[in-house]
Order: sequence, then structure tokens, then C-alpha cells
Amino acid sequence: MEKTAQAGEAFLDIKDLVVEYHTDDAVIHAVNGVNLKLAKGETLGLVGETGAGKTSIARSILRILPDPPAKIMKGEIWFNGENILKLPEKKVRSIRGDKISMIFQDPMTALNPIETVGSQISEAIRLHNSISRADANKQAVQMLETVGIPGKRFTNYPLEFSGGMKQRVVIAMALACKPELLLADEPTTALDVTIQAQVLEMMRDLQKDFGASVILITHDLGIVAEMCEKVAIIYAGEVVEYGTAEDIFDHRAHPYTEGLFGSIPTIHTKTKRLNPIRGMMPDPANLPSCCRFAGRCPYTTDECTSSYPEMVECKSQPHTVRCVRARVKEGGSQ
Amino acid sequence: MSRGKKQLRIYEVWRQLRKNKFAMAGMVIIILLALVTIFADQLAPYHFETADFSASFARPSAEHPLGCDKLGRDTLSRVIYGARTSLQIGLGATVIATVVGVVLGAFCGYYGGWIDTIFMRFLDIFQSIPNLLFSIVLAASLGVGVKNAIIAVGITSAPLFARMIRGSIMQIRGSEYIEAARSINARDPRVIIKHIIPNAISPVIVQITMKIGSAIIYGATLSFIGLGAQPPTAEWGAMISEARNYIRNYPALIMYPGAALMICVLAFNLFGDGLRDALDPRLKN
Amino acid sequence: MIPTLLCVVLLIFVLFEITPGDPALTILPSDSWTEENIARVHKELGLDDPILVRYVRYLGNAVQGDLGTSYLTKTSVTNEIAQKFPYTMKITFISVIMAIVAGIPFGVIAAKHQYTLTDNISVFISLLFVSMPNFWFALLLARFFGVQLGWLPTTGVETWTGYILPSATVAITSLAAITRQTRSSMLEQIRQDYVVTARAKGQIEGKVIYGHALKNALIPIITVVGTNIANHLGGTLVAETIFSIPGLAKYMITGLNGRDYPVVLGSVLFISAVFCIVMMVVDIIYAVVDPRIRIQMMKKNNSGRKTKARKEAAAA
Repeated sequence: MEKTAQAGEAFLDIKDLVVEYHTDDAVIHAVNGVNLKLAKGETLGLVGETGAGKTSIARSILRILPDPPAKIMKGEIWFNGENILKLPEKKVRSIRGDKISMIFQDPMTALNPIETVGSQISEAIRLHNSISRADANKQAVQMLETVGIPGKRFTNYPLEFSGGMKQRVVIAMALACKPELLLADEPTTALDVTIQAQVLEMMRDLQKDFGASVILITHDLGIVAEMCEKVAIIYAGEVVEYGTAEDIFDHRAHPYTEGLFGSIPTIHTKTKRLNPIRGMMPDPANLPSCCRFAGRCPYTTDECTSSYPEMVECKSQPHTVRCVRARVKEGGSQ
Repeated sequence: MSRGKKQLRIYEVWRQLRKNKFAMAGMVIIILLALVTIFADQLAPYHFETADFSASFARPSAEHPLGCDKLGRDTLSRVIYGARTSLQIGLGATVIATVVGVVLGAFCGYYGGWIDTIFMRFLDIFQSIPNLLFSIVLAASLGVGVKNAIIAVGITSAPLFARMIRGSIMQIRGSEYIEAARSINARDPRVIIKHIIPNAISPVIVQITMKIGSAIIYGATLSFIGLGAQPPTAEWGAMISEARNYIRNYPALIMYPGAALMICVLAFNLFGDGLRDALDPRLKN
Repeated sequence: MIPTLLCVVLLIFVLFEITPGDPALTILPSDSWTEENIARVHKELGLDDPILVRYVRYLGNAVQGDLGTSYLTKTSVTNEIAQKFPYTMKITFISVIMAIVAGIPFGVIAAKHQYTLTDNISVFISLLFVSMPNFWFALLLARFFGVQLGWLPTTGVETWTGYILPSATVAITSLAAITRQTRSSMLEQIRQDYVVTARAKGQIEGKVIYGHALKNALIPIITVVGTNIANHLGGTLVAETIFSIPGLAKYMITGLNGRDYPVVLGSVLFISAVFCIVMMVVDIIYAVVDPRIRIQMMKKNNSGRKTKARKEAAAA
């Protein structure tokens, strides 16, 4: 991106983030130069297939990537005017769970099975507030009730809850310290469809009440439509398209984004069959140096397989796309 | 499992194993030990019984590289011959444990039901007596000697094998490909031989390797207590037991057989450990 | 537990029955080994009766706390065991504590530094310990700390320092087992999502590892400790022999050598009983550590009560 972004201007500003996983046999390029910005109170959707690097991006923000094998090789993550990647561990720890917190994909495993849910919530509270255990417990009970769980279940263990209830607990834990930024990593993927809707609705209400910014990781465009203002499409560790939800839904410019929409059925158009995207994502240990989507793209040209596409700005700001076709189309109507 | 596939698997295991330096070191030591055992007569400078009273407690010299014991017997020769006895006990006991355990375990695991319940209850009881205690009682009631030490250690170790084999079979029995074999009407023995055994065998191989090590220790312990190998037989445990009385002035006499014993057991454990990782990558965390 | 012990006694009875050797021969001096003398001794000891009769008689007495009288010393086996067992128990207990206190941190450290030099070294050391014969290690300890440095006594347990070397001897085998188990269950646990959750909360690393992961890893570790207590009892026998401690081991081995049946039977029975009790305690510890087991047990009780209630209702 050419626009000069000053540190501190955006609430969260990820610049040129590179994450690699080093194993015995290979180096896996999970995140390759990602730039993302988020304003206060905004909800950003990160959309992409499994293994595209969405989770690695989110975990980099909290610096909780599994090291080894994961390493943040390059980049800056500016949050409230501080580069998280340069902060000492102690400082980052005081941000984790307090200013920035995370909701995990699988509520079944995200909770410690042998601690009561109440103590797990109040642990988060006590870590960031110097209050007594009793007061923390009181707050934890309140948090449980906020997410729709009776406070008397404070002393229950995770195995006594259903999946949806567990996810509520996880959310309660994430919101316990009223974070400014919430990272939600596929918060509803592991849940039943009916429960999904409930949880999403609750998250949206809570976001309003708490005024938090949210990064929502998902591969479900339906959820994006419902929740997000901005969307970043992630493919093979890169942002391939970024824009407002309307832009992405109505004026999508990247063939991969088109493919994603082609693979969900709508009730408006008569589709005989779904159009899944052909082929597989390139091996992250062995990425091509050209456009990473060239192998699966229906519009591949020589240029696509010989050079690496830059981010191109589209007409309606802030809409950018990493595709040569967009440059050709530039100025024309979409 | 086709022949080609089987060979491929063995090759894969070997490839994994070769990467593990500890396991390879263990294997080299085991091979050396085997050679020492086979060629003890050629390697040892003296016979293990040859006593030379003028050389009582002799310090290491060109004639006696590791010195001599009280009776003037060459320590190096006795350590070399000791390998023979110790390995004999270790291998013999493991063979007994394996045969008894595998037969019992396969029987219980395959037929299940009340037979299984009774045998397993019986093994529970067996295992509520500490292993070493039971070996001691067995060896003492059978009478002292190498042969009885082998039997005692072998029988004591058998329940573990039986349990393990039974466990693997129970697990495999329920799996789909056995159902598939049944559905094409394969008769019972064929199911056992063609499908169950190859799948149950990996943990057994690992267990056998590790068990040889502990069987050697148990055997040596029995000899140390005086229930195994008897003088003048050269056996590491017995040698340590004899040397024990002179520990104040001649500590080296317990060092050599003890170190030999430990290296020997360590080799089997290193190899077994590596083998486990190679055979079952799932176990390798 | 009771059926187990019944069978243990039966096992030893059968064992003595089918193996060669006659207690009469050790009781009588070798010059009076005449047939009528031997028969007289058999009659005195009640060895003429069929094995089942002897078995039932033994059990009948054992239930009343009478484990018989030693053939050789003519003393009460129950009294002797009561006198000697405290030594054995103390050594076993101290050694278990030693193994746990050293083994768990070793395992955690190895797991935290997986695939590094530290991990390799600790795996190697634990294998080295597994491979170390107890009795040899005991002699090395005695030689070094007793003879060379003169810090610790090598015989007897007149002072508490006398327990250190014997307990250390016994501790090494299960120390290695505990280290290895801790390492592998920690490796499993530190990859769990809830550990990431704890980190994401801002918890300090030490608490994440010891407060969250280790607590979850404890279940299989407790199992290993429990099953190794048998080995500890076995190892204590060796330690008692080497450090001349008047415990159960020496008593039993003397009994074995003299085919002094009541002594052997009593000792084995007693040790097995202790082991059974320990295993029951381990089961209770599981429930204390793991709420999942606790809740399961409560559910079972509840459903049991419910079926009972239902039955009663049906009967009424």
C-alpha cells in the first residue's frame, strides 16, 4: 500500500506481517506480508479456507503462536500506538486478555476441563485487576449472567455444559476485562446451526454494549454479511481482497472471492449445482513466486504465471485487490 | 497386507530408526554384546574359573587388564563370560514371558467372554504381588540356579505381555477390516493369523526389547541375593555380590560388572525406545 | 481386595506344594534326618493334612490376625511383621516422595524444551536410571556417600539419615518412569487449546505450565506412581538387604531359605494387602484430582439410588 500510514493513526495496524513455521523438513509460509487496518469499533472479517493463515494472523496479534515451530519473521503490529511485536513479554501479557482478548474455535477444548468455569473467568479478571478473589468471583458471576448462563453454575465444570454453553463461557471469559479488541477465531464453526445464530446475536449485542473492535475469522460468508463492516479475503497467507462488506458482496474483484461466492447457494438465483473452486491451495511450504491463485484461477494469463501481482486500489475506497485483472478493469465499470 | 507393502513398512521403520542416534548406539552395543557372548572363549584371556592365588586382588596390569578378584580370577574374563550368563537369563526369561503371555493374551483377547474375565482376574491377582517379590519367592521355591532364575523371571513378566496382547487384540477385533474379513466368510484361524497378529505385533516387539533389559536386571538381582547363578559361575549380579564384601578397599571390583550390566540394559532400552518411536509414530508425541 | 488376597495365599500354598523342598529338613539337624523324625515334625506342623484343609485353617487364623508361628524361631509371625513392617513402609514412602519430587519437574522441563539438548539429555538420563540395577546403584551410593565422603551411614537406621541412601536407591527406578510419563503427558497437554486460552488471558508462563497443564497431566502420572509402588516395595527388599535394615525383606528371605512357610506366607500376604490398599488410595486420589471422575462417580451413585428407588416403588 502506498498510502503513508502513521503509527497510531489506526487503532490496529498490521504492517507486512510474515509468519513462518519451521519444521525439520520444511519451512511453511503461513503468513506472507499481510497489511491490515482496523478502526475503533469496527468489525473486520477475515475470510479464507482452512490453512490460509487466518488464525496465525490473529495469534500474532496476541503473540501466542506456538513457538517453536512458529516464528514471526517480519512486520509490525501497531496497537494503540505501540508495536506489539517489539514490546517486552511482560507488557504483552498485560495486554492479553485485558485490552485484546480472543475467542477460540472449539469451545470443547478451549476450557480447562478440570477447573470450574467460574474460576477460569475470575482468573482472567484477577490477572488484570487488583481485586480480591471474592470480588473477582462476583464479577465472574455477572459475566456468566451477561452471556445468558445462570450465575449459580459458576461452580460447574466444563463437562457439565453443552457446546453452545461452553462457547458462551469462552465469550464471557474473553469479555471479562472489557477488551478494546476482540479476536474471534471461527467462534461458531464447532456449534450447531441453531446455536450459531444465538451465539452470533449475543456477540453482536455485547459488541455494541462493550464498544469493542472485532476481528472475526470465518469461512462463512453468511456470518460476514451479518456481522462485518470490513472484509479481508485471505488466500495462501496473503490478503487478496480488502474492502467494505458491500464492496466485497456487490463489487468483488478477485477471482478467488468470486469463487467463494460461487460455492454458496443463494435463493435468488437458480443454481443447478454449486461451483466449488477447482483444485487445492498451493502447498504453503512450496509457494509459487507468481500469483498464488494462478493454478486455480479460470482467468489465468501468462502474466499471472510469470509475475507477482501487487495490490491494486479499486474505484470505491477503501477497496483493494491483488489481481492483474483488476488493474486492467480499472477505470471501467465493475 | 501384501508382501510389497510389508517390505515397504519394514523399510520405513528402518529409515525412522536410523535417524535416531540413541537407538543406533543401542543397536551397535547389542551387536557387540552378541559377538562377545558368542566368542567369549576366544576373547577372554583366561577361563572364568581359573584362579591364581598369587594374583589375589591384583591391580590392573598387562596380564590382567582389569585386575583380579579375591581368588585371583581375571576380572575381564569373568565380565566377558558374565555377559553370556546374563544375556542367557535375560533372553531366556523374555522368551518364556513372550510365549506364555502371547498365548494367554491372544486366547483371552480373541475369545473374550467369561474365559477372558477369569484369566484377567487371575492376572490382576498375580500383579498385586510386587514383581521382584514374586520372582524371589518363585526362584527360592524352585531352588537356586540359572535355569530356575530364568523360569522365575519369565513367569513373573508374562502377565504384562498377556495384558498388552489382549489389549491390542481387543482393539483390533472391533475394527472394520476384521468385520470385512468376517463378511467374506474367512474362518477364525485365518482371521487371527492374517489380520490380528500383524497388527498386534508392533507393541509386542517394543515390549520384548524393553523387557530383555529389565529381565537382565531381575536375573542379576536374583543372583545378587544368592538365588540365581551360583559360584563359580561368572554372572554380573553374582560378581557384584562377591565383590561387595571388599567394597571399602577394592571398589573397582563392583564397578566393572555393574557398568557392564548397566550398559547392556541401557542398550536394550535405547533400542526399544527408538523402535517404539519408529514403529508407532503416534506414540512419539 | 479380599478375593485377591485369598488367591495370593492359595498361589503360594500351591507353589510350595509343587516345588521340591521340605521344611522338616531345615528344622531338624542333618544327623537326625530319619523318616520317623521327619514324620513327627510334619505332624507337629500340621503338614500331613491335605492342602485344602491347611489352606482353610490358615485363612481362619489369618482372619483373626494370627499369621502363624515361625517354624524355625517359634515366634509369632504377626508380631514380627508388626515390628519389621514400619521400616519397610518408611523406606517405601520416602522413596515414593523422592521419586515424585524429582521426577515431575524433570519431566516438565524435558517437555518444555522438546527436541532441544535439554530434552535429549533428560530422556537419556531417565533411560540411564531405568537401566541402573537397584542393588548396584545402592552399592555405589554406599561407597561414595558412606565410605568416601563419610556423610551418611551405610548400615542400619538408628538415625533418620540412615533412611536417605536406602530410599534413594529405591527411588531411581520409578523416578525414571515418572519423568518419562510426565514428559509425554505434558507434551500432550501443552498442545491443548485450553493452554492457549490461559496464555491469551495473560497468565504468566509458569502458572500456565504448572497451574493448568500439569494439573491436567497428573492423571496418567498418578497411575504410573501407583503401579510403581509395587516396584518400590520390591526395591525396598533389595535396599534392606544391602543397608542391613531389619525390615520385612530380610525376614522374608530368611524364611524362604529355611522354607519357613508361615514367615513367607505372612510377608507376601501382608505386602500384597498393603499394595491393594495403596491402589485403592490411588483411585480416591484420581477422584480428588479430576472432577470428571468425581462427577461420573456421583452420577453412578445417583443412578444407582434411582434404580433402587424405582425398584422399591415397584415393590410397594
